[in-house]
Amino acid sequence: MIRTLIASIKLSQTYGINTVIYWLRQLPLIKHLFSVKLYGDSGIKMVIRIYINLFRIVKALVGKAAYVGVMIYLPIMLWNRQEPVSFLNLLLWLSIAGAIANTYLFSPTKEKYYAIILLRMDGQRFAQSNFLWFLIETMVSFLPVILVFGFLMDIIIPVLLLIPVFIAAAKVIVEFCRLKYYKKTGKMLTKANWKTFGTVGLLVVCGYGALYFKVIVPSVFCIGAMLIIIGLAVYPAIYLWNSRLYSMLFKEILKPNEIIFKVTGNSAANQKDMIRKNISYDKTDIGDIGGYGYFNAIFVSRHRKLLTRQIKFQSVGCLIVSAAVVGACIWNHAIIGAEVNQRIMVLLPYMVFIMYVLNRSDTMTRAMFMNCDHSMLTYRFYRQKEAILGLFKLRLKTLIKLNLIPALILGCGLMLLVFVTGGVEQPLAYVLILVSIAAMSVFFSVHHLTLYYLLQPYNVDIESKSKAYSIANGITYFVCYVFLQMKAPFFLFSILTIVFSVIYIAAALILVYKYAPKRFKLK
Amino acid sequence: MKLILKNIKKCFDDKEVLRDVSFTFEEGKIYGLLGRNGAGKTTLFNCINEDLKLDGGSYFIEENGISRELVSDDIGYVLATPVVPEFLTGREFLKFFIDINRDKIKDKSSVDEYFDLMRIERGDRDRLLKDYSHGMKNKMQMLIYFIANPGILLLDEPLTSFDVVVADEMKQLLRAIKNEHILIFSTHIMELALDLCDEIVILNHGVLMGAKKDKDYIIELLRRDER
Repeated sequence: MIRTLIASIKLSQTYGINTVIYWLRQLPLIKHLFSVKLYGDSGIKMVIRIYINLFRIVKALVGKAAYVGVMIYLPIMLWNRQEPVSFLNLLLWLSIAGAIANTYLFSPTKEKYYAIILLRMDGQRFAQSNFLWFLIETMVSFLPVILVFGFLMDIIIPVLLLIPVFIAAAKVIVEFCRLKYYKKTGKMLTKANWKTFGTVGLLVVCGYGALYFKVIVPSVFCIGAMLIIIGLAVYPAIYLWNSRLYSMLFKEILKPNEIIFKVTGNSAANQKDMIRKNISYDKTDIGDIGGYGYFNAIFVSRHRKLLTRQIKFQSVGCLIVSAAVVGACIWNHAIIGAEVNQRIMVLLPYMVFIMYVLNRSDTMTRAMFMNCDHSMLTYRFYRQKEAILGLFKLRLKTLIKLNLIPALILGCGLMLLVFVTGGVEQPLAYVLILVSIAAMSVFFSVHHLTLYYLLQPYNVDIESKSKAYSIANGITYFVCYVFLQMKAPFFLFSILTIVFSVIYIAAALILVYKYAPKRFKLK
Repeated sequence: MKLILKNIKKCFDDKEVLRDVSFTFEEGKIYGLLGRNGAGKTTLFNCINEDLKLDGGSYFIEENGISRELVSDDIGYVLATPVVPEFLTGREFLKFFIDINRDKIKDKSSVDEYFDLMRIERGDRDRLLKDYSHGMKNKMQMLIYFIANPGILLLDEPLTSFDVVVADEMKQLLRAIKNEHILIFSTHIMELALDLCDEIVILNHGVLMGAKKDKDYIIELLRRDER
């Protein structure tokens, strides 16, 4: 059993090390520094192994600290319930909720897939050793965190030592129930369903509700409950240890389609399958257009589930939200009108993030690649400069047109909101609201399509050959997120937004014109 | 027309896949490109098709003693795994292709006549390409190049997904068009290469060389690196 545990840990670490080397070799600008020989360099691999293990330890501790700090300690402080009993009450509720929300045995992970399916390790031994290891890890990583917060809450040490054991015991009992249910019915209680969500939600609401309304049971009951749960976990622990169901269970959960995005190592190929399912067939009447116009029009029509239908949903949503907010402001004009008016003018940066979230271009470019360019780029005629730039123009028009609809609805809603809450001194502000929001929408459409045309990272087998695209997307998200934290004078921000968008769009189009014919290809 | 490869080099990291590839392919012949797994056959095709950048050397076309660079219309590349735009129907794909190449296609036929040529059934013509079988996708890919009619056709294991009847039909088609084309046919099936091809070329240790059409001799040549 120990050998199985060591082998599976080694396997997981080897996978981690190779992933790090793979990532390093994908990084833009510096990837050439990392030779393929690194995969065989035991010295470097040892260094990476140390870092990986350190990272794992830090991640476990920080994760637990964040959980206890944010979910338990913070509300106690905010609601002024600094008694030890509050801590124990909330911890009790949330630990049971956590045990139900997470599962170790039933979750399809890449570690299990590699060990059991690919390397044919014994499922029984793997489950025994790795679940025990998981419980030990859980207890060890919770202990220092519980000790720190426990001291802050003046809880005595024996109780603090009991808590990690109780958390592990709760997990054992829930896993036991799951396995029993699986044995009896052949079904698994792990998939996100309303029952699991509902139970977890109810426990969380009970925990916080009890704390808020001071429905607190005395400490002695909490400790008693913990001890009972620990006592109750003994039989389940023996049952889990002796169960013979694991090999069958793992075979069932580790099917490739059960581990989408997690295991196969090629999430793009899985994405392709998913996007492929969104092609809706009908006899599309495109009219008289020919060539690439015909091609693009059919593409949009066949992907209406991903494109037009979503835009319609968004538009209706924006309309309802705008109407509701405007209605509420008219209704309560005297109370909130002036305040809303004042705030709305400095909250335009929020719209950057909202426009980013609403913009469908990222999904659209993904569908373009998976269902269209992935195959078409293997044909030389499709890679000619005129073809690339011609289709880019058509696609850009489509993206701008579709994304502008919800943006303009939101812009008009905002204008109306400003108007009904007291208006502005300079009428130019109305125009600026609408134009700046439209500029943001166009900006994101151009941005996503430009990134796609310049940094498309996949090869014909849909393996990612560069991380530049995902890094650029990550930066975009981060910058938009930063705007959420920003408050800026209205006139300055709106004018800067428009000017920046115009300059960026012009620069992007020049870059596409210059580089896309060379760069838009399968890597 | 001749396709001339001169000292082509291609490396992946430290591995030199194509070391020094030089060869002259001539019009009117079907060349069988043989090599062991990982010898670089697909890499060579990818280089000629400009999917990969060369690390050295060059390739060009020679017509009536005059050399010139390859242009897009000169070359067609039929991939081992056929890729077609899955959101289009077979008919729409052909219509689009014919439309954008209408000035270049000689002896244009109707879409249905092209389907007939490949024996694609009427019921399948208006189905989405994503629902086509592997073999049918391959047929579509071949058909595109039969219509475009480029002077050079690179065929990477093109007949393996066809049933015996269709494979035989394809062989007839390739033989029928070979007089005006350079056909380079990569395969692992020795019998197919010997049956269909006029000349055998072997890619071994990053070098391309001609070989006589003799099974034992070819195997001996491919085995040499083991000793």
